Amino acid sequence: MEALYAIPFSVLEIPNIKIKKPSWLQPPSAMTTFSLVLLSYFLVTGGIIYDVIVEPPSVGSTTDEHGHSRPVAFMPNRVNGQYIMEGLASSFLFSLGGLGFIILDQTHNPSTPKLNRIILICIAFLCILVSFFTTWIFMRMKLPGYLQN
Amino acid sequence: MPATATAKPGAKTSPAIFHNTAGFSTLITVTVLTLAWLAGFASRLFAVIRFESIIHEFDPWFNYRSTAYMVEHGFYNFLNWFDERAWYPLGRIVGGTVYPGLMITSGTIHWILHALNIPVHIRDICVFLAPVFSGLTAISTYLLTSELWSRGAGLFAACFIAIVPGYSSRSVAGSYDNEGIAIFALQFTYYLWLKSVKSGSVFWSICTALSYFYMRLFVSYTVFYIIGLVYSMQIPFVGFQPIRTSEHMAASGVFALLMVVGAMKYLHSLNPKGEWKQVLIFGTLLAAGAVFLAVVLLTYMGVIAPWSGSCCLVSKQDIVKVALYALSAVYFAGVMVRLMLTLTPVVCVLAGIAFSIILDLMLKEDDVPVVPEIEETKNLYDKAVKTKKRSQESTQQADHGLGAYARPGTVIAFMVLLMLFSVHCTWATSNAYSSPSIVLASYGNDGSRKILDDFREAYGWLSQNTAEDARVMSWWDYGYQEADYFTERGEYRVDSEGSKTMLNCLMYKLSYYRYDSGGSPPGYDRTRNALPGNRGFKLTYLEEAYTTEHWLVRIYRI
Repeated sequence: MEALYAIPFSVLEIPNIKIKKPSWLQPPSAMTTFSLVLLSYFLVTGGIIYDVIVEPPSVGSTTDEHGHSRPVAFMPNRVNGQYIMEGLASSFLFSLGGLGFIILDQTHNPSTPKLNRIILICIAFLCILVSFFTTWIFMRMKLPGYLQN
Repeated sequence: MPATATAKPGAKTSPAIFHNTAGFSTLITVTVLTLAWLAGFASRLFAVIRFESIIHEFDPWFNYRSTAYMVEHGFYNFLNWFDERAWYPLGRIVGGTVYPGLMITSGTIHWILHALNIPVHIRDICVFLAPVFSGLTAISTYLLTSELWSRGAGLFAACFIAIVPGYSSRSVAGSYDNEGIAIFALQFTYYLWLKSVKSGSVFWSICTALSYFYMRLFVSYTVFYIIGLVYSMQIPFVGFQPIRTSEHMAASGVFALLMVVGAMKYLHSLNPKGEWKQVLIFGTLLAAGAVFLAVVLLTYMGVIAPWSGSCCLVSKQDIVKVALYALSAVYFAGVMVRLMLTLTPVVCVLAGIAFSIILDLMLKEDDVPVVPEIEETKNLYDKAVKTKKRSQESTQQADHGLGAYARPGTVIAFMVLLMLFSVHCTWATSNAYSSPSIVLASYGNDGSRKILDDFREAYGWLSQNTAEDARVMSWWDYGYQEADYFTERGEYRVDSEGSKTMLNCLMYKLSYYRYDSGGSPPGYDRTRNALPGNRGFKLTYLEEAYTTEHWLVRIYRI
């Protein structure tokens, strides 16, 4: 293999340069990466790209049988369409649930005092359950016939 | 593979009862995979049972037509096929502009079946190809995940991907398209790639090359046709093995690339670990033909990949790569909902791993000394969100305060979750993805289903009443609307407030001709919830020939 790589260098001369890694260039800390990932995850699952392209209204409105205009939070029955607030609310819940699992993962650090650990476990479970059931409700609002037939 | 020892749920927990553990776990594996295949196949048949064995959308119809032509006239005639009916006045050179992986696959199946004297019509093969391949996808996912983690995780992942809606959306019976099969090719290629990296054997490398070639037969289709999709389609593949970025470039000019990045390659060749493998692969490279040259080299570069990762990651680069792939796939799925398809397999793999870990911890008896050890090693690489669930149990094991009930409680909770998941999958597949687009279903206020079968009615009428080579001009709404047709407030309306251009255009008149004759109130458009603004007009040059039951299709004679 090396012989093959060497072929071009029998013709070419390698220039004598030194490339040094700039000192300010270093891998970001774990927390920075995590925050960036979480933030971008929140935005992307919230459909920010869809919002920019399609420019839907932030909240929809409908007219009921009396002719009054009512706000509607969810664009019903359409899986590939959304209002801005709807997307952000859902992605907030996704991120909340994910955070719950991450907190849960942090609780078994042996240096954590017992009280803190219990509080953290409670918060984590709360996050997970709230996000799960609220997402469930959202799903029902989004698709009124969900799991019906 | 360090983790295989820690997690083998079915086999290792009950050695006392089943002495032949290896045979027992093989039995379980085969049974579960067969069941997954059957479940996946069955859940994709809603459309066939409700309607008929029919191809679903536009692209699948085109693929089917090409396949039928290929089966009828042979492969070489197919390559030379000039289809004068497609893109009507111009015609289209189909053979040269289509990527024939799909057609060859189903043509081969057709040929084998006929060689065995099983006379199956090519249409049925096309309809059932995707569901059958979903089973193969499940198996290759099993192989991949068991290579990555453990066999138990593999079984979970196989079951997940067999029914998950993100994948079944593109592979229900009748959706005869490249994507459904490309996922199988993708999983299988990745598995073989991993295998060849691990074993370093020429055999696996060649398999990888072949499989990669097979995958490209499908993926290139996308490259060629849907340019917007190119980047997004390609990059998720890149995501899970960053070194492959250079592969794609390599495909265009391997040797040029070698010159340009010669210095980098030189570093790579210094890698003592990969040395002998490289020699082997180089032998393969010589043996392979000119076409394969590029592809095989990609494999070779794949061999290098673990090295580039090992400088920053301590262990389990595989799983980190999978997590990276998952993350980038999430982003791409966020950009375009269709790319959910590339997200799906990796999510299934990760979920399978997570469930396997949880059940492993949960079903194991209290052999306490093992548990902390597992925790230590796994802390290094848990990146996927779902994996976190495991820790909840280990915490509870650590302080026995929550103790005794946590174990069955968690098991039950996860069983309920699995059940909900399968119910959701079946519902989504049945309701959202199993409607051939030529049959529309609408739902009344009481949730009852109403089938609008106008398109098939119209096609039936056309085939009965027109000549074989009659010219039919059709039109459908592309979704691009010209500004002239909007009202002053920028709306798109058909009622009396619609713009003048709109109310007087030919399409409008053809759609609403004689519209007053039915419904309550007469002439009310239920789709747009409006009363057409221009009614009671006469047509000069066109004569109504046929109108379907729900007025979705109207046929006129010139």
